[in-house]
Amino acid sequence: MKKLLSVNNLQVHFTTFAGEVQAVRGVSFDLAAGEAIAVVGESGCGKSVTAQSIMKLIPSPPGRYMAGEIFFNGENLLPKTEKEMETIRGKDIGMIFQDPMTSLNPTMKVGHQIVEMLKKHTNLTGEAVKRRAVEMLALVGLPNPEKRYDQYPHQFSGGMRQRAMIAMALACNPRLLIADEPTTALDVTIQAQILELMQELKDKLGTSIILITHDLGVVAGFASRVIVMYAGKVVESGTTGEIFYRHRHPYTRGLLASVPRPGKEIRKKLNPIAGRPPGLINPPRGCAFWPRCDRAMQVCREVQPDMVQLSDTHWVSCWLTHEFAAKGANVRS
Amino acid sequence: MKKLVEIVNLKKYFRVGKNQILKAVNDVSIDIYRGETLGVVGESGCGKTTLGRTVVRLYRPTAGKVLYNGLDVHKAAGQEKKALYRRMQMIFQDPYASLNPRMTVNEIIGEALDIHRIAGGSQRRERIMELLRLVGLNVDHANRFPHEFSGGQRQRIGIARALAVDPEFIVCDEPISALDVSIQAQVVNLLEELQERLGLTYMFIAHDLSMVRHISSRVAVMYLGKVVELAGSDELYENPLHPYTRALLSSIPVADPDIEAERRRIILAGDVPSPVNPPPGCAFVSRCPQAMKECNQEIPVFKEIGDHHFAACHRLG
Ligand SMILES: Nc1ncnc2c1ncn2[C@@H]1O[C@H](COP(=O)(O)OP(=O)(O)OP(=O)(O)O)[C@@H](O)[C@H]1O
Ligand SMILES: Nc1ncnc2c1ncn2[C@@H]1O[C@H](COP(=O)(O)OP(=O)(O)OP(=O)(O)O)[C@@H](O)[C@H]1O
Ligand code: SF4
Ligand SMILES: [Mg+2]
Ligand SMILES: [Mg+2]
Repeated sequence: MKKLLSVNNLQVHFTTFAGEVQAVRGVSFDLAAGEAIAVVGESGCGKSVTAQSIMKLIPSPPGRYMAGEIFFNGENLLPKTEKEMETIRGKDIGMIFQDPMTSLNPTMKVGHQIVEMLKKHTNLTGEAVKRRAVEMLALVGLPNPEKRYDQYPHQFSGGMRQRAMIAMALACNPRLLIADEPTTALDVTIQAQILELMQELKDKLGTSIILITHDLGVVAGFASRVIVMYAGKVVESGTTGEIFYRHRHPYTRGLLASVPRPGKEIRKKLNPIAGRPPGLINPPRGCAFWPRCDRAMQVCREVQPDMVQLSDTHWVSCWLTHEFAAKGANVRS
Repeated sequence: MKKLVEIVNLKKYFRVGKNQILKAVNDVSIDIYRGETLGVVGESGCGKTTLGRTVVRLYRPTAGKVLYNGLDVHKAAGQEKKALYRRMQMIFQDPYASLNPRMTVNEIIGEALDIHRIAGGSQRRERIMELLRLVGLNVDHANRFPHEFSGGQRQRIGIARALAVDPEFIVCDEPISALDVSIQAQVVNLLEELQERLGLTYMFIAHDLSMVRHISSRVAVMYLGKVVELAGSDELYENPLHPYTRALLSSIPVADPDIEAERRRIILAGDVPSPVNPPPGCAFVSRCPQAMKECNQEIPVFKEIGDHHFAACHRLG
């Protein structure tokens, strides 16, 4: 498959009173055309900052791109000017934000917002623009799209707003859709509708999708590949099967063990990872997970583990994969 | 088992705008037994929080009543009322908004003790420390402010505050939705341990259906202000009767790609109607794949269909 997106060694920092927050510390991953991947990891690990960087939406100050490249369709986005980015945002890359109210304009009718977007990025004019906007509202499953076209965001329920935002993100047939927790606030029946819709787009139009979520069930059903982040870094990535059944990183294992088992084992005591993630102003020198890792060795505290390739698709960054690490070693006092 | 809480034909309406009535809780009846966890699920806006708040006396009902050990909680006065304040507590949906940002943890918990004159002098300090240890925080957390904690720790402060007054019954309103999975598991384990040690009874409101099954003995499913189904938790998950419950359960994402690849979801079309103008018949009719003519006209009765298994649907029984 052809590469659509390639993020190389992305580093993003924020300046705060307390010090420099190293929010993203060298993230790399690829995305093929027509592929759907999921990004998972604990709250604050840098998922949204990574996503917003692809759109070049990090506010500066306080944010800064310290290093890295983001190749989209063969072109590096990071050196692009705001003006150049405006021709890409919404047209080639659509984004659904964590909070729908922040990206819909509350003072403007929903249909009008889609029309503005279409006028800016397509050759459509006059009646055709309106027709396309109504079509989009219908496509995302809003009942009475003609009527909804003339309403304001606050007249929509939470689930409907989410769908309006998806309609807007998709209006110009973007080649990449970034969905940042698109369904967190919704009940599972509405969630299922929206995931189904995104799946259809991928299959029909070949849209590539990056889905950010903490719901591992959604990941299992939706993505073909998963990227696991911890404290601003990718710690493991692989096909959905590799991550769920053959994971090698202790954090991935801990994450998967935290959710209730399906079926008969549902009442078993849950197994959370003890402790919390490190601060990102002074992240640990070695592996960021060592203070919580039950298999950490001396080397984990001192030196960051490299990314090691285990298969065509499976990568992991953990000292346990080193040939000298004793099986089941637990050198921690 | 003995009934601890009886919710009888409870209604809570809000006035919104001119002459508009929003029926947030619309005729709900449920018993809660001593020592059990009753799970409450349903989509955003269906009235779960309003139900919880009315049960613990934070709202006056529009109609109906709530009995606690046989006593009408909204009519109680004097000593009885004071005793109820202590026995019924609530852990709030939003751990950020429910803690006073200008008070230290010490003061937040101490305040609850003082209101009920539970522990004074040196006992007071000891009791606070005991509560903090109970919820897995430690002594040096006592002098910190809420914003200096992580989401999971903040949720624990809320739990410590609820436990301070020795309650018997706690409404846990989405105590975990704002947290990520590993912290969710920490908080759920804590609630289960406390229940075992202190014999607590919970009403557990949540979005996450797997977690609800994990923690609950029985589960009530709400839709637009009404309970549409109620059963033992294994019975409900293995043998759902109401079309909404079926759709809901068929949509639970399972963290296992092989299971996900195999399953069939019931995808509902249409939107949830507004609680200001609910449809005249069954509230679910606009999205129900099995709706018939009478569903548009008559409200289905909530009745026992199987053994201790209740549902409200014209297609049943
Ligand atoms: N404007 C900002 N100023 C300072 N720090 C920031 C800013 N935006 C983000 N951060 C920090 O960057 C880190 C990564 O944040 P990000 O929003 O990417 O997390 P996330 O993985 O999306 O978490 P969540 O699951 O909670 O949405 C966090 O530690 C956050 O506190
Ligand atoms: N104080 C209030 N005044 C007016 N309407 C209210 C009030 N509180 C709740 N409502 C309305 O009552 C209905 C039920 O709200 P409630 O908060 O009980 O829902 P919920 O099931 O807890 O939803 P969520 O899952 O989003 O927390 C909603 O339509 C809500 O807008
Ligand atoms: S590198 Fe060491 S500390 Fe980090 S996850 Fe692997 S074993 Fe644990
Ligand atoms: Mg985020
Ligand atoms: Mg609520």
